Amino acid sequence: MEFLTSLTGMMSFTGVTYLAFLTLAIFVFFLLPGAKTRFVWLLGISSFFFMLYSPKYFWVIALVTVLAYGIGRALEAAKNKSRSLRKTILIIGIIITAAALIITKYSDFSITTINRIVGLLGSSLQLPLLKLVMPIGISFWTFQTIAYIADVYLGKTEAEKNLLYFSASVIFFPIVTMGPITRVQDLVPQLSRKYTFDYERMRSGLLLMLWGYFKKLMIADRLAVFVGTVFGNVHNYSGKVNGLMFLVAGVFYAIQLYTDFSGYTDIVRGSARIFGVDLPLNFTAPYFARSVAEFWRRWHMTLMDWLKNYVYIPLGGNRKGKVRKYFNIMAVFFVSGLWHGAGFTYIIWGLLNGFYQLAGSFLKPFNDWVVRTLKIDRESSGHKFFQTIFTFLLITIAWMFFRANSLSDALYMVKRMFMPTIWIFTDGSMVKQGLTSTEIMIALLSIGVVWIVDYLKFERKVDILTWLTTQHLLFRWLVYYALIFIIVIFGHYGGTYNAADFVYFKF
Amino acid sequence: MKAKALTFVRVAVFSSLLVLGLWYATAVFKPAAISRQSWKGYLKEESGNVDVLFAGTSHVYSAINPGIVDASGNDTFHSYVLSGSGQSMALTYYTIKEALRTQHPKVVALEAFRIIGKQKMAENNAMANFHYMPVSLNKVEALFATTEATSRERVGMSLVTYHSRWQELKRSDFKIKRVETTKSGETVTATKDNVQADLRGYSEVENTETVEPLPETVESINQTAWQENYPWLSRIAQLCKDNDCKLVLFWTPNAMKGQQTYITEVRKQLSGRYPDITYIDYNSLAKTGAIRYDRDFADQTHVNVNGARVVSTDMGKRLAALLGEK
Repeated sequence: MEFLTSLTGMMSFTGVTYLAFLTLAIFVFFLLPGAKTRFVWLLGISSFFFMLYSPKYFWVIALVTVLAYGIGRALEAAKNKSRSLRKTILIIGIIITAAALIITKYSDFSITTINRIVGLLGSSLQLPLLKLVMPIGISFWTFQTIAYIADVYLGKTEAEKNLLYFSASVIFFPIVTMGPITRVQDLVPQLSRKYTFDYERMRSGLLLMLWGYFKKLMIADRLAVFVGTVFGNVHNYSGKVNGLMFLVAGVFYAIQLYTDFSGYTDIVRGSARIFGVDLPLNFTAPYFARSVAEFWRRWHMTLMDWLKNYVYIPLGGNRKGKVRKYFNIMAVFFVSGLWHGAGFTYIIWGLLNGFYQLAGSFLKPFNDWVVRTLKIDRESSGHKFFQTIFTFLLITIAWMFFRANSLSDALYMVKRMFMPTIWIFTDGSMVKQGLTSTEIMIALLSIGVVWIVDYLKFERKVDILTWLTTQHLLFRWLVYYALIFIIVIFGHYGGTYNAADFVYFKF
Repeated sequence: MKAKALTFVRVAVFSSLLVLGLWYATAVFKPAAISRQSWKGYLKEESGNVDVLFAGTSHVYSAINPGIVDASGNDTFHSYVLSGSGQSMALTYYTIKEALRTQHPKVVALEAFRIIGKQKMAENNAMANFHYMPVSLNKVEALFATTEATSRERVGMSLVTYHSRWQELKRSDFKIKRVETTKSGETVTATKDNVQADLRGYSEVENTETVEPLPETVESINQTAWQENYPWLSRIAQLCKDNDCKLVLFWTPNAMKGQQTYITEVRKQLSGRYPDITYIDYNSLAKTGAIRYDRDFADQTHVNVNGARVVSTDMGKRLAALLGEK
């Protein structure tokens, strides 16, 4: 345990340590004979990987896994029993599977809220905070195991008989920290089969990883500096009324979030592909969406799929009338907000996204009337472009709540973000937010590259990464090397070297 | 089969070129003169050439001039300094261990000031001291012993830290090797990591500051620091014993508080198990007036070039006597 604790903090998907870990994992995996030994190796290294993040909380994921497995088996055993018995098992199962998540993630939020309400009522009674630490990835693997239990209950899948296979599908190292939320029944067959080395799959996996690193290190981590500076100093801008700076920070944050999470997803999907495991897509260029509803069909798709299947549909979906449908939409986005974080900013963010969709439905007749009256061609590029930009702005406003340090900060920024303070682009304000003009330029160029690649892939069905593998060897290698060295040199990682530090630290 | 072999060759060539490119990028981005650990110069020394190895913190490279030490000992031995800024006792242990792989010095002279420091080093110091150490198991072990988990990648791999210098690269950064004339007029092929190689690890500090010596004793030692560092000091003593090196523990002139308390404690703890250790406290030179607080110090804990001359001269004589002993 002491050894693992000394390693805690070293592992990061964007670090050299992860690449070394992955290299070792791949080498040993393919050197081992037989499917079972390889599977045991994957389970072992996945457990080790989890312990590098949360050594003290390994027992939590182990317990949740065993419980979910047991509940699945119990549901299977009660297949021919009464519906009420099965429903009882399901409810108990969901409660005990979700208990760790609820306790570690929401207890302090609940206590703080109670304390505030009690304080408003004039009482001095204050409950102490528990300050519990969340095991890494708990929101993801809890949802994954709940989905499994629900699927067994609904008869969508049979209960997994082998505990080790089940465990491996929960703790599989590429997904255990941040998803994508993958169904147990999709993973088990892939993890347990005999997989022989496939050069093409390895190459495409590595290429996907490289693309993920490009998004994460060239854009997300770079923009994070700018975003952090603005969001961390919200009231410093009030005197100058640099309203548009909030808009720029909001737009950058929207891009940061996308390149960060989709970059991560590419890295883990690429990693899993090398081991013969296909993980589901999580993003399909969401900022090209022309409505908020479409955006949520293209953003964090595995979570939205989960919310649709295990919240929206069980609540009645759109089968019980319009009012109920609207309620269900709001419920989905409320759960989504709460899932993302225990805080009012997240809840408001979720509800705001739900509200957008409701507003979209309410205003549809008006929208149609405007289109008819102005004789707008819905298929024209101009109209599509307008819809995309408008959707992006709505989503960006919602992200402001997601990112802001407090509700008051978010409201403060949103109120000012459209003030036409265009001088911020010429008076040097932009380069005072932690990034030099060159850094901003690199970020913008990289964003351009990602946008083009995404556009070609999801709007024109031309996958550049696949196209690349069909090109001549020399050209391919040139692109690979260029991409690697651009990331290694211009990527934003590893702390910033400051020559002055070394002069000062001469002694 | 042929296709598999071709694939294997392609992967091997691609990987080799990549490694080569990364090596070159590392060499380009690594700034010159950030380290006082002149490993390159040390490794160029002929095997068996180094008789005395000085190790420890910045106090060593600012106080010990091997040229003067050797001359003062009538050039009967050849010395070299391998010390680093803010270097922990743990890293010093691994530095000595690594140094003993290529040389077999008769004496290891260790400045023991760091007994009062932290085992985990400040990241900037760690980077400066690690990045020029040869790649070895010792380096890996030292990395784990002396750095926090979150900074190991930055400390262990220089490109992770220095790649962000792309905005300040100059033409000279691309000259990995260049010919330079040393202070003694000798023409040498310099690399980024053997700056001042001609000085064998010594670093001249020219400024002068008048310092006020603080009380030499304190009521109690810092137990946390002691518990962290003493085991490493003890391991150094054992390492020297195992390698048949005489260990000299010395303290350079230092105006910091409580020096004598720690020196006394170190002697008390080590003398039973390692009776052959030689102890030299250069604070005594300040008491005789050979070292002056208004002339020979660069700051509270480091001597300047004047102080270095005095310390090195005395050290040379003592080492000559020690090495002459049967």
